[in-house]
Amino acid sequence: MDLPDLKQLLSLPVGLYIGGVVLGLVVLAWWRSFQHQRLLKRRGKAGLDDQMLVDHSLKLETLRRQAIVESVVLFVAVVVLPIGLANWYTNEADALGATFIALLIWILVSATDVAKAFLGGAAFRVFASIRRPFQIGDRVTLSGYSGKVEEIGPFFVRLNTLDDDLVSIPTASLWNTPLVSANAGSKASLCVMTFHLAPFVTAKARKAAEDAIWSAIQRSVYWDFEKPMQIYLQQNKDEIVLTARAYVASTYNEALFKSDVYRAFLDFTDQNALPLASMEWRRPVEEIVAKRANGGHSS
Amino acid sequence: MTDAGHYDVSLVMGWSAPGSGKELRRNTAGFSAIKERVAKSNDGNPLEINAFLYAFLVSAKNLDLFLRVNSESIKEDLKQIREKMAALECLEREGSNPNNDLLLSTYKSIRPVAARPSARDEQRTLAMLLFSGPSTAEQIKEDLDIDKNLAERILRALSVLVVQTEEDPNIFVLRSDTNSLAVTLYLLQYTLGIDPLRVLQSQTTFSTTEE
Repeated sequence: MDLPDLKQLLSLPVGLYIGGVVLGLVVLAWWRSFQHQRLLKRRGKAGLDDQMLVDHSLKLETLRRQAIVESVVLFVAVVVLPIGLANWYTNEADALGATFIALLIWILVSATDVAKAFLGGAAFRVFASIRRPFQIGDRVTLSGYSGKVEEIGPFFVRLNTLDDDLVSIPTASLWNTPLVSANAGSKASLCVMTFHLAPFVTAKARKAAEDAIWSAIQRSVYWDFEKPMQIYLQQNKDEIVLTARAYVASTYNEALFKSDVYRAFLDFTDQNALPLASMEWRRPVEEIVAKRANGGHSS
Repeated sequence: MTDAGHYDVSLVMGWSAPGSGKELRRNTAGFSAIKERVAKSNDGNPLEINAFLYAFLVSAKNLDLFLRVNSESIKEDLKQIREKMAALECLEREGSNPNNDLLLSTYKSIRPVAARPSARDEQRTLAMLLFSGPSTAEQIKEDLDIDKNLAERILRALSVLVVQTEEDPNIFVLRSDTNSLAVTLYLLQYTLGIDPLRVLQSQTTFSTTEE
């Protein structure tokens, strides 16, 4: 393309288009920053610190609105504005120039890895805000990493793991990976806990163990009492497994909830000399009998 | 008792007498003790049960299967608490003044104590007092499996929401005015994720429909 041709393409509609897109993005960024500063000021006046004590589903509303505004801006910039300008200017050369420049910018931007990551990530954000496969604050497993979603950015999704590691996963890569969410936007999540008893416990002891688990779950302040809980039993070759399914009211407290229940159960087994499953039960019966006959000493 | 298998109870916001709900404490595993108490107390006058204890027992032990509940006296309180919690939410989200000086000062006093991520035992103590009622430091120690000195320190630190009873200064109880309850429930909803108000509201709606 000759230089004069290129000059001809940079006409008024093209200028308007580029100016409109840049202005739109600047106004959007300014508005967000203004809102944030205003909120900080108001909270400061009310004597509150930076930590916002609201349910995470309420925080999500704000983020959802942001993602929708961003997707609208993207749609207007890429589709509405070029078509509108092309229709507005009846001069064919101007219209052609505007469309050509818009496509040129689009191709140039799309050709780079950074742009690809951005566009893939931005598209995923829009998808996530509408279909909600997982949300900010959810406990998820993505690309083999488990943790709490801190941020869904156009480039990275940031997870905070149980070890307090911050893991950044490319947002665009999430199109091709299974998305696992423990609570899917809800604050509560299901906990499955297993308790392993020795294979020879009596029916009475087994019943007592079940009662102890019920009690331990109900005693924990982390338990979500609005949701049902279940305990079921399974007979394995070397052990009897009791499995409890109960909801923790706040998914962030899952480890604490499990700790409460296991501690209470272990205290109970200790106080009542309830035998737990052990590697010892996997040894041949004759060996165990011989050991007992020997007063606990292996022969 | 009004008909076969059903007992009348009245829901109240406070605790009628210190230690009155001892066998109803959250750490009781048995269902029969609760049933026995309700049956024993039903001598013509409906037994008064704390609303939050009831919310817990309804969900945990299906207490509503054999109770006829009168929740008229707490309906207005529940509405006020919900409104005040909404005002606290606006305060947190937008920094807007809740137009209730007492609510604001209570919240601002307790927030630094009980809302910190490290204030796990403070939050658990509040939950235990909400559902189990008047408690001694010894009971809190046993329920939460913590040191007794720590339990005493926590109860003192929560003095904005927790008071000693007049009958026995060793017994601590949550304040039952709507401002204090709104603050307590808001903190517990945010930190522990529990919302007994939702259970109570569904129960009160249900009993109204039944009538």
